[in-house]
Amino acid sequence: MSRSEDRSEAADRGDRTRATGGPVFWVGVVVGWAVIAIGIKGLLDDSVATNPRAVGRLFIQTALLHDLVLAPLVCGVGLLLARFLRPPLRAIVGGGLIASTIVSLYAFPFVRGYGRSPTMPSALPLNYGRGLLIILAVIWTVVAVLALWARRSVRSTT
Amino acid sequence: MTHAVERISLLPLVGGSLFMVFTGTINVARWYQPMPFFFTTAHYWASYIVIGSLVVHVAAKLATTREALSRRSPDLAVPARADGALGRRGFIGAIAATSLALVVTTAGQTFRPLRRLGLLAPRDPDIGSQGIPVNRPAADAGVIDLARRPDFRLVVEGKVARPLSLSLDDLRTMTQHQATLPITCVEGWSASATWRGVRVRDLLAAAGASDEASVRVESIEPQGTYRTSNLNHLQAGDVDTLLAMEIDGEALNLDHGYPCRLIAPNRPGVLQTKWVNKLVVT
Repeated sequence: MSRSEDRSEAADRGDRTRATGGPVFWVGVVVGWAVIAIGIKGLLDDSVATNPRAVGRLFIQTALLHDLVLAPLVCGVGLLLARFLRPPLRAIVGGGLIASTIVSLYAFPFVRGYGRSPTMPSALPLNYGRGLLIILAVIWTVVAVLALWARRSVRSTT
Repeated sequence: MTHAVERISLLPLVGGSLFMVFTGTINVARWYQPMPFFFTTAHYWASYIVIGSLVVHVAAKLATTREALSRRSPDLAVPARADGALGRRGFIGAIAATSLALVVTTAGQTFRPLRRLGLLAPRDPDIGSQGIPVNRPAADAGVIDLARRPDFRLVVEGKVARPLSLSLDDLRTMTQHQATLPITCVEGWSASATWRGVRVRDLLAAAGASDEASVRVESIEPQGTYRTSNLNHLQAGDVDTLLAMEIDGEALNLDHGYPCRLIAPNRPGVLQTKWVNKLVVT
């Protein structure tokens, strides 16, 4: 893609990203922050149950983990995909990585079995490592099928 | 100023959403160590923070959203962009497909037809003592000795004409009724069984309570947030509201609430009080 095309695409995007502001925005800010204030007040008022300090800590920790670790990691993987994979493989593999990451993050505490208890064998009764591997195998089979299909359709159009 | 307000409002949106998803997931995985607070209450109040920040975010992006949806932009129409990266539609499609996959591989813990696909389900509705999962075993509740005491009595007291104190044999000689009802846990699993025992309405009638009586059901359990639960007069009077002593034709075992437990329609499992020794009419 040439530089001028790059620029025109950027201009097109800029056009679609409308400036924030106006009465609707400020009504949204007032209503939204009022609801947020109800939540914060509830957390503080119910402090025996909620332990606001611990909730606040976890709140900040997850946001920082997202912004400082997860987001850069996603950008890094995106750059690697752009460097090493051509279209249409780049999008298909990207989709497969998104699916695999979400499923793996969800499955993590189950696979590790943090919640298992000897007094309660009916909780977490399955082999979650096996379950995760089966789901990952299905995801990457779908990725492979989509890749083959996309390659064939690219060939048939050229 | 506008920009600053919009960006600051992203912190509660991102932090709150991650908090909700993370604590919700580890709660069903019973991993309580990273949560030194009561999950239900914290999750409830945090949801206000997420909803509020979502309102701000939608208001901030309304013009952009309207613009994007009003015409067919190349980014929206195709799954992959011209440079080969995943487009917006492709990204949303990948997230939707993954969410669907997680639903299919977990919903079997309550939706029987999907049971065999429940690879990541926290529970299997068929795995548990007497064929039903357990959420608070007798050992954890500290009732193993208390529930087995030979001098067990079920007391009916409060606003009654004739307070009752019944032994297990007294309960067994009363008319027994049967109801097929599920234990429906707020954590997402459910499992049905056929329960047999004494109707709460029969006990109230024997004690001379009024038809409008509500009842506080108390457990032998020495402590715990859910050691008592309440029945309003409609619930107490329902023909399927039982103090069960049998599950699927067997005597209840300790983990399911021996000597008797509450089982009633349309209640979360945590309010189906186990090891019941007192009905207080209010």
